[in-house]
Amino acid sequence: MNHFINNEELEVSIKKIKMYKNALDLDLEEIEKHLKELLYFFDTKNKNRFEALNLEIYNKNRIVNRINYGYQVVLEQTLRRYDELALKVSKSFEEIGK
Amino acid sequence: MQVQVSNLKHQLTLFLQSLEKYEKDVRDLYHELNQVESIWHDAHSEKFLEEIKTDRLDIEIMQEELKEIKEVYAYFIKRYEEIGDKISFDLSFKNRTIQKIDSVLLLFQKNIRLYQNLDFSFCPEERSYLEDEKQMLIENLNRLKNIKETFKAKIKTIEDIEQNIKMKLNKIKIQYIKENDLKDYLGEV
Repeated sequence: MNHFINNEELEVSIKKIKMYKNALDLDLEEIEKHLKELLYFFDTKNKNRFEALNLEIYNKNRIVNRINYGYQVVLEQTLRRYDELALKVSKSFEEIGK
Repeated sequence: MQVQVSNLKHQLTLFLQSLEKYEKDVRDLYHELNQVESIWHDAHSEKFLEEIKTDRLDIEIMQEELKEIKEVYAYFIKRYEEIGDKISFDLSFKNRTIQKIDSVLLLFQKNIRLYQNLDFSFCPEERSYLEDEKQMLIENLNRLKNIKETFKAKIKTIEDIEQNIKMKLNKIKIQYIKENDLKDYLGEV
């Protein structure tokens, strides 16, 4: 298999992914806030079902937050591991050259 | 029960705006994640990109679920708007209120019958005055009958709305999302 990584581009990509991940965290927070605030303006016999749905959405959002964070972690660690490998290889060459 | 339609409308607009922003940010995130394919390639990246595709589908389902909730609120607002802007009533008083109206209607009918049985032969001068009074009672009786019918229709509408909302809500199923195991993509390089 052809293995490759473009460190510089990956670094830029990680920055962008972090930015979108943070934006999505805020979006989900906003969505939850508005769903909760909708409940302030009515009280009918179906209110409990709306509350239950809100709770399910809230729980799902927490998983989505962790998944998005996971993307960031995977890419950062991949970059770090490749950097470490590059360092090891470079040291090995230095050793050989001595 | 109580419903504040204008406030709900405003809040739903804010919810929609958040949803649109969320959809845009999701598109941007997954676009960027897909770009990774051209800058990182090994056994782990393949698994990672596969997982991203699955996650993207899960997020699309989630967006649909949020839209379904939005649709129920939109229906809720549209139907309650037909009744009024601020609606407040204790539905447990429904039967008692109808009984009260019925008892007043009976009282009207009883009094109208009393007027009808009056003998005006000895008082022709008062006859016109009493006839007017009787007519007023008949008008009030009819007005109250209309109020009763309007009240019953509104309650029926509220019960229908709530029944429909219940059915719509029962159809919404929030799907479980599986959390990824990061170890799958974090092996040794």
